[in-house]
Amino acid sequence: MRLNAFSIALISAGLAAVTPVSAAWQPLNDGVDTTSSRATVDRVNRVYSSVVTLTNTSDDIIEGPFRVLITDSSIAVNGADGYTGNGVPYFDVGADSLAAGESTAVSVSFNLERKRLSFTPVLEQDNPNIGIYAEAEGGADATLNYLGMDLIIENGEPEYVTTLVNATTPPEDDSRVGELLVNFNQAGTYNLYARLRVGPEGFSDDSMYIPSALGSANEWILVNGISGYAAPGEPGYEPDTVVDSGGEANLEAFMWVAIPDGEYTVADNNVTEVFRYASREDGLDIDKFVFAPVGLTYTVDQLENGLPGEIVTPPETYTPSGPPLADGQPKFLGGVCCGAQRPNFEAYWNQVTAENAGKWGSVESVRDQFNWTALDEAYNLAKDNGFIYKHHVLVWGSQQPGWISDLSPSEQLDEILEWYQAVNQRYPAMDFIEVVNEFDNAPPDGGNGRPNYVDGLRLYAPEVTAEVEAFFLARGDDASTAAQKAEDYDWIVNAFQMARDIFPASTQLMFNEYSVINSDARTDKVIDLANLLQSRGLIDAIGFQGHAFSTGGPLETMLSNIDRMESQTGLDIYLTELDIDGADELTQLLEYQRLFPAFWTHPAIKGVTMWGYLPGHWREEQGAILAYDTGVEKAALKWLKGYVRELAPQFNQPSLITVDETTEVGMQVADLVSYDYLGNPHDQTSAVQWTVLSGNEAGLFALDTQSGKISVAAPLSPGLYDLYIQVVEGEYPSFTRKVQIVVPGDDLPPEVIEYDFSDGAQGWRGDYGTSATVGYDGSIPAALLIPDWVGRNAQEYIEEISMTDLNGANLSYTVNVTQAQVDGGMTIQPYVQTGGPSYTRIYGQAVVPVAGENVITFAPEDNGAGDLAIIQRLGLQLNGPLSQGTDDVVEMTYVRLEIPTSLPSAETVTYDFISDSEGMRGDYGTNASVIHRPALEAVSLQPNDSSETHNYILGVPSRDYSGAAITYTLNVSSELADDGLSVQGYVQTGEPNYARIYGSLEPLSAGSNLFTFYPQDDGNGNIENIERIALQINGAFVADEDSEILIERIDADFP
Amino acid sequence: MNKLMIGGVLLLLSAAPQAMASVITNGGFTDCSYNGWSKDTDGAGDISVLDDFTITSGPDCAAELLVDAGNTEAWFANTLFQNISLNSGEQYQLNVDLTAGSEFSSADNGFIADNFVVAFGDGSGSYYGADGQLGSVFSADIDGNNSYSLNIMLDETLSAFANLSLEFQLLIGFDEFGSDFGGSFLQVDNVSITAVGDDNVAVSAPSQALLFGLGLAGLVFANRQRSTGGDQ
Repeated sequence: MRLNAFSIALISAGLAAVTPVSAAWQPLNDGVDTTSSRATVDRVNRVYSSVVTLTNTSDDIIEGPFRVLITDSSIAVNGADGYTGNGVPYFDVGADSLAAGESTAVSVSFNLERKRLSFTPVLEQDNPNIGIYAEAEGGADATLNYLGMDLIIENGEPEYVTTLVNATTPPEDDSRVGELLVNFNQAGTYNLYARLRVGPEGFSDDSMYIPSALGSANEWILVNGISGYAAPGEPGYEPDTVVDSGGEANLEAFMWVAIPDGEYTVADNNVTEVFRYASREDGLDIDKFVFAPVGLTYTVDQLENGLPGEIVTPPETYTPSGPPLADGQPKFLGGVCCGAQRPNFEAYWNQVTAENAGKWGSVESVRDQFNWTALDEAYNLAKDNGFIYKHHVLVWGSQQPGWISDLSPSEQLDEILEWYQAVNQRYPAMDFIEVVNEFDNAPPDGGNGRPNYVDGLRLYAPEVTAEVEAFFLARGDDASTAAQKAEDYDWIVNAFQMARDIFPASTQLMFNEYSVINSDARTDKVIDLANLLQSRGLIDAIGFQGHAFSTGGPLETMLSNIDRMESQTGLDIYLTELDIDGADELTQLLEYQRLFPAFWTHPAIKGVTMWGYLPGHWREEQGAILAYDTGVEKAALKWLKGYVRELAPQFNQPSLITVDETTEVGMQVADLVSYDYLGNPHDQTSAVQWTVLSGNEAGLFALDTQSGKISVAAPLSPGLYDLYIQVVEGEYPSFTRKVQIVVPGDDLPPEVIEYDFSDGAQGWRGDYGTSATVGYDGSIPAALLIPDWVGRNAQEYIEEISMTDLNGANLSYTVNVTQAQVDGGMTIQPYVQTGGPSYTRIYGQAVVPVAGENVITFAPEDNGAGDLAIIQRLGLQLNGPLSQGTDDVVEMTYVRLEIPTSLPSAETVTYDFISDSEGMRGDYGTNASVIHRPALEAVSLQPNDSSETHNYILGVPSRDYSGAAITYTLNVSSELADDGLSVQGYVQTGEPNYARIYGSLEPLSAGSNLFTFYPQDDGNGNIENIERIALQINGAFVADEDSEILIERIDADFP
Repeated sequence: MNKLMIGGVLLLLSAAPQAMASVITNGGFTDCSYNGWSKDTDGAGDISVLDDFTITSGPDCAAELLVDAGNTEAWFANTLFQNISLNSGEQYQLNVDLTAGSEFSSADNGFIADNFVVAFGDGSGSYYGADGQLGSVFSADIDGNNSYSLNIMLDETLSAFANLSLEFQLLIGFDEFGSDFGGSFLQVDNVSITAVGDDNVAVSAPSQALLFGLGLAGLVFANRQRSTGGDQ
């Protein structure tokens, strides 16, 4: 330690100050009765004396040590054992602990004065779960021993230490070192937290150094990229958020930060240790440090207020066992690697893609300097385990080398070739390469700040541009369209041609894009491009990304577009980046159940790649992870394991259960039936476990965990109750089914979704692409709608919800606005919004608010396009411009969405094939297919080659078809009238047995044919769980436009 | 003078009086002196030359402490105490007759109650109760005249104190500006601490001393009132 006159003076000042005490002391208000006796004169010491008695009135032992603070005393305290940091005298209590009912006492003394003695004793407990606080400038449990000349103490509230000097190497002297003497009253190991503020320059203001150990001699540890959790009064403050190593990279706002690598050991009780810190970048303000005992978690509120942390219960851990889920299956289920996604990879996934390590910008961020380390790990993981390796990605408009755009096209071409060749040389046995990523959403064309090297690619074969134009002209596009496509796709052709020229023939080439199958327009582009590349022999497969923002819409649309890609390109299709999310585990599980089987069983999809499954996932915040750091699986992954391995038990979807309101408690209302993975019914000896995952929070019903019997558990009231139930056998759960129980009555209560913001902003955020943000103020409580009016007259705030039909719904917002906002001309406008790709909004009226509280109601009406039935966002928009009040926030205190309850009743589901084939297809494993005939508003059945049977299926939501009637309307060309064809309607269960229930043979005649099929129970319960409506044409036939069988309509009537 | 009021408190009457040997010397003040006792005024020791400590006149003398009166020296408290020693393993009982009285009472404007405390001291200044815990054996505000007869079993933990003392402290009551200058007295008599089972010490009857002391107190306050009036 280097001392100078200044530091010596500080030491002296520190010693003269109040006795350092631990901030671990906190008032103990609950469970202890504190009384004080009348004063006596202590004739020995010539003082007044009073006895403070403490009695544990709780049922539990209370651990000390304790002390009694003397506050509000009318006479000065005499002979205190010490003083708090605020100068309050205290007397130590001898007892180490107080058993339940036990009392102890302490004598407290005061000067002799001829006046009434009065005081308020405050009992404090030295809670070991409270951190040791050290103000950066000295204070609390620390004194400042030294402050380097480059450090500055900024006065104010709070007082903090900062620097004006940038020095990005570890300190070589003490010029930017602060040294504190920290008082630790207990030996132990401590984690370091800090209250910091990163300056406006973000990455240039967000680092400092901490010591490798306590003491005067230390190595320096760099703390960089500081992020944390907003302190009180700062935007985004959420008091109950646990401060961990994550958080946000907040700028110009104090935040609580868990310092990585900040762990220190104190060997003895009641010692003073040296703690040194150092600045690195200017703009970082250091308020205080907290040394918190290990094994505890601390919220923002606990750190801010010196409260004890929570003991971390050792987490449940889980280590999965392999083999990979899709092991031995004809298609792969892969994942991204490595880094945070590496643990247990081999137990789940059998295909490897590097998430970031294979991007050009990751490998060659510095020209001609290649960093293969992370990519090697992914590639080797695949090769060591016999997994498929798919490279992501060669050409893209994002995460590319920063230097590439500065080169001439010819230099770019050289670098691109070098990049390709380097990849090929290092990884000679790649199974797939995504040659081009996001050719439509993010091409490397310089748009929107993207890198620009398409001209470099064009140089590889400049004649390609004209060839592409000719290709599309030949396919019927007009000249303008063909020219545009040539400009859009010529560089892609070259990128693929280079890949084909460089990489071995065994490596399949593909491109990759997002928001494809939920968009007819982008699917068209994919098909165009695929056909172009295929015409030149350059492509082997199509990849479409499965991020949740691309898959949240109607399944029928997505399947239809997959079918189109398959039928119009003939290429294999890969689902490349699947990350289905959900605000909670059940939402994610239900969405997995809705989507994954449809993709996994689609014959054109040859493999699926999960885009991460562990924390560290790029969409972790949206709930997209499938397992936790501990290895514990979320519900969706548990289900996925059983589903893909085909080992899950089965549980048929029951029909609506009607229960009279007067049904007595204990009465059985349903007996759910389950089967093992082979379809064998479970019996009383089966080791199964029934569980209600959600919907029975009121405890109205009881589900017997072994038998599956549902009974009434509490007096009923009218309503529709959706119980989400699954059955688990071994480690595998069944599909989770929504078991609906209706208690009839008048005015059934609506389903209510509400946000009261009692525990945070509850997912509300500013809309993407805007600067509007949402903060939180727990003292109100309210979500704070923080606008950024600069350059934008509308501030949009949204909450994502599962796709919901809001027909008949009512939405209300309760918000507080300021007088300035009112005077400034702000209006407030509610809206609801669909998901991607259209993100269509349905607005309510713009409301002129009053200062103070406003309740804004909104009953959205459909826009004529049916969008109100597929809403995925609630929204609130603030409209400007504002003449004043632009710095004010809107406090949103309550949001309530009421969705009317409608009982499932007799209904007809119609498939009219007007706009598309509605998912009708040839059955898997056959060559039967369908073609949509828009002009005829029908689908044309294409034969299964020369087979005598031709099967066509239509995927439908799982449902009980007991009592249903399915009416088919077919139209048969006269040319086929004499071919002796017949048709059978049938329905079919899903996997694994795909059981069929057939109707009778119906002869087909020329013209319209209408027949009705009444599915009957086959004795195995299959009718309760139908997932396909289908028909079978019997007899060979040939189809063309003049001779075909059309399905014009299918009506399914349910009782 | 205040109306004579006689009250009584009987604390923890554990058994009928029986013959026992006391560890207290001159507990009955039978020689009409403070032999065996120590006096303290305001922690300064036995300094008073006025009427802080007096002996009521015979035939059954008693100790009398006086504060906040014109003929006293105490600014805070007078304490009468006697060092004692208790044998471990034996159980003791404290008996004492007390009479307290005040010149003014709560019926008078400006009345500030003086108070008294009976406690055991440990030689360091701390006081303890009969249970051996920090606190006191008995204490009360003095509001008019009251008599008390204490008969209390003592916890064995008291025998562990090497410098144990039995103390009677009479304190001046204050408000934020000072006292009411209304005198209060505490008469102490028939003090005994006896091992339960001893059989050769008699306990005097408290009622005679009580009545006698009250009468004396009345004379004291009559004098003081005259003195105060003369000062004005």
